[in-house]
Amino acid sequence: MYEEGKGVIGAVKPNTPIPAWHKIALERIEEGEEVVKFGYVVGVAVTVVEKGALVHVTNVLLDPTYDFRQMVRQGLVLGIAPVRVERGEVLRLGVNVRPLHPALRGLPPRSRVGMAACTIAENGTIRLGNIVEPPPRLRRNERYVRLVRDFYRVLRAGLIEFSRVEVG
Amino acid sequence: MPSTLKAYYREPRKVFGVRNHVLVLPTTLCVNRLAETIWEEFRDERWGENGENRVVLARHNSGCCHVGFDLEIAFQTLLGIASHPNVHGVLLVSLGCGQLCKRPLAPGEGKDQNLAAFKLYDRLVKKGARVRWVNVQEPFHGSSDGFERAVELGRKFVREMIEEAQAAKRIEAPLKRFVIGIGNGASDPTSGLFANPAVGYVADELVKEGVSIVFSQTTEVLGSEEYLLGKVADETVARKLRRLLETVYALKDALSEYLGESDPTPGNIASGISTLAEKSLGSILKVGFDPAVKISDVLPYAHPVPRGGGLYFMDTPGEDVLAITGMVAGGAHAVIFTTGLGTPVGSVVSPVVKVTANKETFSRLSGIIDVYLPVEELFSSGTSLKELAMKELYPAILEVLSGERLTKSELNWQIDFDIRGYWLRA
Repeated sequence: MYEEGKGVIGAVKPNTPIPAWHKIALERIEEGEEVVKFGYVVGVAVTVVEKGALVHVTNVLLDPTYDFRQMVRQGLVLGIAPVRVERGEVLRLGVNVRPLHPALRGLPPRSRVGMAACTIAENGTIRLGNIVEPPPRLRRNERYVRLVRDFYRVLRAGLIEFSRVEVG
Repeated sequence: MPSTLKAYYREPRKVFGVRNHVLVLPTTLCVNRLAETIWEEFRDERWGENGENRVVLARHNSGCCHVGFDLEIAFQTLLGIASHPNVHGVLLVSLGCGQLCKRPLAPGEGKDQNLAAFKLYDRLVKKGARVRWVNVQEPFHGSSDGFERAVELGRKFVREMIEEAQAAKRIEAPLKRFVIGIGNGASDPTSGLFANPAVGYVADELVKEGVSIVFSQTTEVLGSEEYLLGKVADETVARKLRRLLETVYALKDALSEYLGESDPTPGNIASGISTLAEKSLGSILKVGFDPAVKISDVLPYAHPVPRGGGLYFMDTPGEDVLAITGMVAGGAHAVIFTTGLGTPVGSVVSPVVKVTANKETFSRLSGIIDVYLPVEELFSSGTSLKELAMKELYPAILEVLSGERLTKSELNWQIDFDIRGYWLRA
């Protein structure tokens, strides 16, 4: 075992075959416990991993709570609806929107945030995905999204065929 | 540690370059062969104290029939590479009818007929770049072989620029006037464990000296959001980063239908990677460990990287040549590139220092790799990785920047250059 700044700090005896460059558990990892490498969580143990055992896809997974896409999307959560909001209802700050996104802070009360695109449950999140006409400064990169959509529409229409290379 | 190095000063542009190349740049792919013909004449010309400067050719497959914002990207990349601090002068070779080809105006014709080309020329002149232009379709009076005339004219311009470049001398330049790119490719387990963290320590030290560091390869940072979002300077940068990552995830979702590829890939899993987070963290550690160093901005492809220190992220594909081209067009004077399996990659105007921690790879491919980190010393003599990086890698970078050492990419004529493209060509 090597630790930066301390040098070699000990050894762990493997109790299963460990292929070169694969990971070994330095201590017993309980089921549901975070697996830490490089000082960061890289996954969650889905079963008990004994000290000295191989740590790999069989016993460690990315837990849903570490869904990084979710983490990215959280940045686009605008706020919470303290009351149930019906489809088509206008969302206003302080009325049916409790702001979370920094871009909404500092706006005057009753400012229009958008219109609900679907029913939002009480205490549900208001995000760019479930409202229409969001404030301009929160709109996605519309131009990019449109270009991507048009591009894949062309692909699906079968106007372009990927040349497939036969192997063997 | 010295905080200055010897570099070429470009008076009109107020920038320092670590090389003094003359660049031959086709503005469209149609004239790649013409540009090559002009360049071949000067292949053996070298100048500078260690013969580190020469005539370089930037072949590419862009510059015509672009739709969407591909034209903007091609424009920005050509502008960045033509006005690069390492370039003494540039010869633009064009056909005449491409989107970025300058051509003579007919009577009554306005500049708006060929806006992108004029914008390119005007911007280069405004920046103070030394620029010459050869155009195939230009009517060369009194000659039936205009193509041959274009070759002659191009060679005449290049010869003039070489003579000017040969007269230039290196002067003392503060380190805070430089930009260094970092990347990784053809990785193996030694990259994530040793080479990338070692580059991280060097990057920390360089930022402390006032060098701007730029890293890229957006598809390879997916999964390390926890690390990245914890390293941004302010909420504006965080918002830019989230927006970019969300777009890339969306694109990846759309593409997975066609590619059917999982991440981590079966190859990654076979070599010991269990999750996407683990994969990306191995790659992202090259950015450095100093908590005081924050990501100051997220830049689009090939956009200028601010000088004067700090850490910047540029949106580029994960592919090595495209990523390096983006950072170099953004003004990177040199690139530090880690590899595990070995790659010959280089860049047209900037030296690329390749680093590996895989002893076997280095012994097999020492002709394309510059620095080997002897990681066995970590276990035998008690040196730390940081000490190793500062001993083996840091001085090598400074030697390359000051022209005392040529990288393997330069010695091998690895003048790689290509422009990112998104869409189908019209």
